[in-house]
Amino acid sequence: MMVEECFPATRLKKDMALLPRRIDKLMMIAVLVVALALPPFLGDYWLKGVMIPMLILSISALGLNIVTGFAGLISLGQGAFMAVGAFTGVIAYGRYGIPIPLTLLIAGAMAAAVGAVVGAPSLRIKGLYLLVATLAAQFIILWVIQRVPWIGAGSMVTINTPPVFIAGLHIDEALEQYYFALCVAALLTVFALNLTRSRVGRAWMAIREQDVAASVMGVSMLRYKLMAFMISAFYGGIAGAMVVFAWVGAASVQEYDLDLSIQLLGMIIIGGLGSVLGSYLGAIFVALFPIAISIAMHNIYAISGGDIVSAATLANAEHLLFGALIVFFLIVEPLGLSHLWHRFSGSVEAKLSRFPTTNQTPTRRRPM
Amino acid sequence: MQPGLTYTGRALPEAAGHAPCPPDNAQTSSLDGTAPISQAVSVDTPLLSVEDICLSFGGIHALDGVSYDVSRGEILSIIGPNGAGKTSMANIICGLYKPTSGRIAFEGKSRTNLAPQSVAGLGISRTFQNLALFRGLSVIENILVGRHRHMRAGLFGGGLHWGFSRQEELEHRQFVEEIITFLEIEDIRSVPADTLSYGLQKRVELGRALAAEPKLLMLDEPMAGMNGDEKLEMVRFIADANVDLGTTIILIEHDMSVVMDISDHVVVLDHGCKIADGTAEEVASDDSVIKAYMGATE
Amino acid sequence: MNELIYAIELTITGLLIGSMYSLVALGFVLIFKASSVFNFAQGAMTLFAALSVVGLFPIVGFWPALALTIVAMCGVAVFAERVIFRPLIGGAPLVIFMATLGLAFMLEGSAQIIWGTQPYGLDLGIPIEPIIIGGVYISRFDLVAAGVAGLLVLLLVLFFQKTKIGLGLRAVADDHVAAQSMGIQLRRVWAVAWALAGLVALAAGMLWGARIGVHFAMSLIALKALPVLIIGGIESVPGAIVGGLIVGVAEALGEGFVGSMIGGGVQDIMAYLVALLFLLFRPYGLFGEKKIERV
Repeated sequence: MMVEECFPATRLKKDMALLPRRIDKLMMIAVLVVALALPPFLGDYWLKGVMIPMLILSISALGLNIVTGFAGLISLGQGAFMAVGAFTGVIAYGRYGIPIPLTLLIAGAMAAAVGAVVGAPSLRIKGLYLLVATLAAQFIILWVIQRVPWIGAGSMVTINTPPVFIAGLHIDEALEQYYFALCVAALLTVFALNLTRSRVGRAWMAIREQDVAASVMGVSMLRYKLMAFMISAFYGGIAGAMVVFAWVGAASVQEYDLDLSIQLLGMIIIGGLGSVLGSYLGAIFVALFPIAISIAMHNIYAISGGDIVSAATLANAEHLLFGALIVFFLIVEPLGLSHLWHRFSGSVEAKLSRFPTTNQTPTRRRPM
Repeated sequence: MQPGLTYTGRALPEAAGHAPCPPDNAQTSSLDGTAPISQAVSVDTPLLSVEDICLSFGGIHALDGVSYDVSRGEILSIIGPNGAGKTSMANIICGLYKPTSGRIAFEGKSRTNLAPQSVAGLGISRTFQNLALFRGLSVIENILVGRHRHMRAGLFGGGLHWGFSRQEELEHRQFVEEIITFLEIEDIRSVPADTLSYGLQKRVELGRALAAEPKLLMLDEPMAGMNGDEKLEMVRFIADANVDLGTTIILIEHDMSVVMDISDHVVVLDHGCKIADGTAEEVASDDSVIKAYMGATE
Repeated sequence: MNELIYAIELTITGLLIGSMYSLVALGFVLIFKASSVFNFAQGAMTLFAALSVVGLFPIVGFWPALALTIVAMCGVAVFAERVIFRPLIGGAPLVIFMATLGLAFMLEGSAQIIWGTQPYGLDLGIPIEPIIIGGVYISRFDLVAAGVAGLLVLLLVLFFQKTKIGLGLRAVADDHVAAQSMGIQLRRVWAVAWALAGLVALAAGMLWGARIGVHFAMSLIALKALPVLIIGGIESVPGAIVGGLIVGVAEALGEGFVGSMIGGGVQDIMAYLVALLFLLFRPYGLFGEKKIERV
């Protein structure tokens, strides 16, 4: 049959490939090599201060990108989902001695269950109304964590985790923590990449682009909106638990306030809404950003002969510039850093290949 | 098989507010709303029965007691001037609007008040008057969403992309390529939908609806805003979908002349009431249609 | 009987504080009516305005500080309209909302770079000793603040209904295209709406600042206007007023009766709990209208 000749299975498989373009494959290999080989040469300052938080924030941003970037449902509660994961994790491991891998899954599942409750109103309300529901969740979840005596958080109290062992291995050096975070992030990233290209991911994007048409094509709003919220919270929950087990060593409520939720939203705007890659680019950007600001500010003050910049001024300068960047990206490059990469790599790919690319990555305009 | 002409002989009131439509004699037998549809499911059962549908928004009657049957394999055209209630009719059939009263039966079973995704599950698919493509998605992805109801991959299947769900994805992509070939849009298969011309977007939307392999396909003004060539092409695709794929089609059109050649059966709406129902020739020669409809547009 | 007096006391306090929430919420409504933008930065504008006043006060004196702040708020309005929202006109509401998130960060950051992060006190010279009517204690400060807030709310309502620009705002809210064809200049209307919202933020910032001090937490208080709007209905002026009062009373009663049992802090989430109830049972608020979506 003609169709068979025109579209051999190899081509369809290429359409379905995780990284359809050669340049993406090359880049992926390069990133993996660097991610595996570089850290032993970095000091604890870089590992603890940049690399580990970057990986953990990427996981959480990836989750937020699923609900906001892919399904088009804005959420200001991702920080609270991380808190749920952090406290579930520290209780499951610290109090009940559940093995770490299982603890991570429990932390994610707990956050997903809370996410289902938060996402439930999304069936009846949209946009700004939903936003207030997630904002309410952000405040109420943290409030509940502080008030329930069983959790033991109290107001402003942190809970430390006992020494972290995975299959007999003691994870306490920064380098070990980094590789642990890398493994978790890699697994969750592959899962998200697959998922967003599957029937489920297409259903989410269909809801984002045109919810009426999506429902008429048989996509259940109930199922897929809830699923998006739950997966998003699941990723947030695991990220929260990773904060405890691979970074800070403790769970404390005030780490997960509204500012973190807004920051995560800023990350995916800057990195690229509706892009798995964008979640990483946004998190990398945000992790490196304070360092860049700090260096720049110190230089400016040194040149102008002023005093040492105070930490508060630095934090506020960061705040100001982060806000400006969100606005800048929304106006100038609404598809974020990931789109810049696609444009750049597309032109490189075209030069590398003697044949025109057959499968261009679909460029998305305004993602919502 | 086809219902006879049930011209109601109603004179249109001159005033803007419209009086309730007179009863439709052909349908009174099943109007009590509680009696099950008496016919057993058989070849003679209409694919879709619309019975005495009323719809009002805040006191305005968008539809007022409309009834008709759609037979298997036919092309039924619903025509009428702007504001006649054609799109409201389509929205009720696919579950987007809940009718104020009346019933819908599909394949002999009462299907009133289903949610849109359940209606899709029955095998009813549609296109929209104003384009409703998933703008940021590629043509392939758009049409793949049309396959949604035939696919099973869920969270874990999709996330792991292994074994069954991988095989399933491959099979359905194969099917989508057949649709793409059928609609002659191979060269735009990986292009984002919102970069396409209006005519091509309409064609992709037809592809998305066809990908659902519907038993009943509703096309809401598929030729609106097209030039002559594009219209001819679209008519050809509609006719092919009907003949080659055996799809029953409801064609909603504003422009009467377009549908006359391909329709087996025409229903005329005006101000929310059915004013004629019959073959194209019968309807075209109907006085009230000429007066109410043709007069209004020309 | 004591319980009853206590409840009355709490209700009155709640209504008085609620009027201050109403004032903040009206700032949101102003912008939403003019440009359909859900302005997350309203809280940051409140902080920005209050910090400017208390920062300038020791340098130039009270009235010049107030005047300079008014100028600054108009500057913010023009900046927001020109630089941020004009390029995003016609974009998805959520994208524009996210831009207001960015604006909020910019305002908070710049205000605290200039004036520092330490909390300021603000004394408007309102007496604090309570007055007692029939055994019910009422804070004199709250009474005066509520009076000022109520007056401003009244002025805003009159502005909406009587002035040409106010009517223009309402026309724009109803239908952008139609308003434009009637010769109403969208941009000017938007700039005016943002400037007015800035002035509302200034008034709210000073009242709240005098009550709880001027510091970072102020933007969280102003953020409570979002649940207030959900309760009242996003586009509704009476909704903002009634919603604010409901939140004030709910907070006072919640804190007074429930808070003592679980160690306080109920007022931090009360507004959100009430808003969630509304979202579940009456998602379009008390005064909002459910819109039929056209396909």
